[in-house]
Amino acid sequence: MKHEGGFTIVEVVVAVLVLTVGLLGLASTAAVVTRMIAQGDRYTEASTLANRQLEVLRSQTCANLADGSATVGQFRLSWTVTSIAGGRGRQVTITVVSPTGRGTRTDTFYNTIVC
Amino acid sequence: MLNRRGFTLAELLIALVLFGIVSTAIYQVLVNNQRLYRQQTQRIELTDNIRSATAILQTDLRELNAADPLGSDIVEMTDSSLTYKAMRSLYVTCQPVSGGTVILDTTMIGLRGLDAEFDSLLVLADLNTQLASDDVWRHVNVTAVQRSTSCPSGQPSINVSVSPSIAGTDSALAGYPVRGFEVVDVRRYADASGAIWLGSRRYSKSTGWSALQPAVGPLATGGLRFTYFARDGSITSNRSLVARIGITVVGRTSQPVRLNDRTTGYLTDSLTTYVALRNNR
Repeated sequence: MKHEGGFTIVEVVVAVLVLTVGLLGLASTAAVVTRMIAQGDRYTEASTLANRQLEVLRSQTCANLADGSATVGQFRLSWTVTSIAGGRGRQVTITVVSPTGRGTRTDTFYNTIVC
Repeated sequence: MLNRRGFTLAELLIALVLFGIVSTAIYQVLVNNQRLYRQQTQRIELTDNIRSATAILQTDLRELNAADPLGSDIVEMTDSSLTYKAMRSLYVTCQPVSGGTVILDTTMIGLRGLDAEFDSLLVLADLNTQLASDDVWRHVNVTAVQRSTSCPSGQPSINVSVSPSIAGTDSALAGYPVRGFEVVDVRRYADASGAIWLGSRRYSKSTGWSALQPAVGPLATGGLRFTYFARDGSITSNRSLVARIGITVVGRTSQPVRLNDRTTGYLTDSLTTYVALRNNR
């Protein structure tokens, strides 16, 4: 019974360190995934709002199209209209500023309206 | 080896109690997981539903020409129902049109071929061929559809009998577009069990309206709302002034789910989209 072989303290410390690194990696992945889901959620909402605004612009006479902005809930929309193809079309750029946990995020959507 | 020791009673009790605590915790986690899984499955179905509702309506409504001087494509509109001329096919004439027969090339672009039971035609009448501003689309009823070989040099054709007939002075020449449409009605309705659906039905010229078919659902109470906007963005009740239609769909899960606050109920979610109609700006 004198030669019972257990782990030495060094082995235990190394094992605990390896385990800690692994667990920390896993935990940070979970945090990243949670952030990405929230980001996707906001992006979906932002693109829905941009799409809605595009339909509003599409239903107007080309001559009446002008730059503008609007606030929907916590989202701030702004759009610019540029004449292209010698006035036969309009390039529309819609910018959506969405709130995030740490400030804001800006998504830009481009589309063309035929006159 | 005679002095083999087992566990004492105290050790065993402690081990059992610890085991009990740990397994209860694990069980709680599993139950919670299952609840979230069920809730999430229902939620996915719900978002799927409201998205397909808006997608289906958008593709159909985008084709509408509300401002047509010879008859708006919107037949009737309320805040929970819409009757409209749904474009189904696009053909090209292969002979100049004059009289009661429209001769079409067999090539079709669209959802389905012509069906005399449901369809009518829009035929482009050029009138003065030097002017684009006087062009109109004649709305004519389809009474018969026949395959034939009436295109130039005996090529295959689709001969459509129409009423009223089209005058030669309309200058609907060869190579001009012809659109086929049927009259469709979409509305919010409650079935026998009280569930609310987005239903659609089509108009048969011989037997009238078909039964309402559920297209998307279930919806929440008041779960389908149409808003009609004129060109200037104001709300209008005049069919021929509609330039944009707002569609709000409020969906409901088909099964009640256990919610986060431990109560049981339905989840709801809503989506509002706009569709700009063609030819009205």
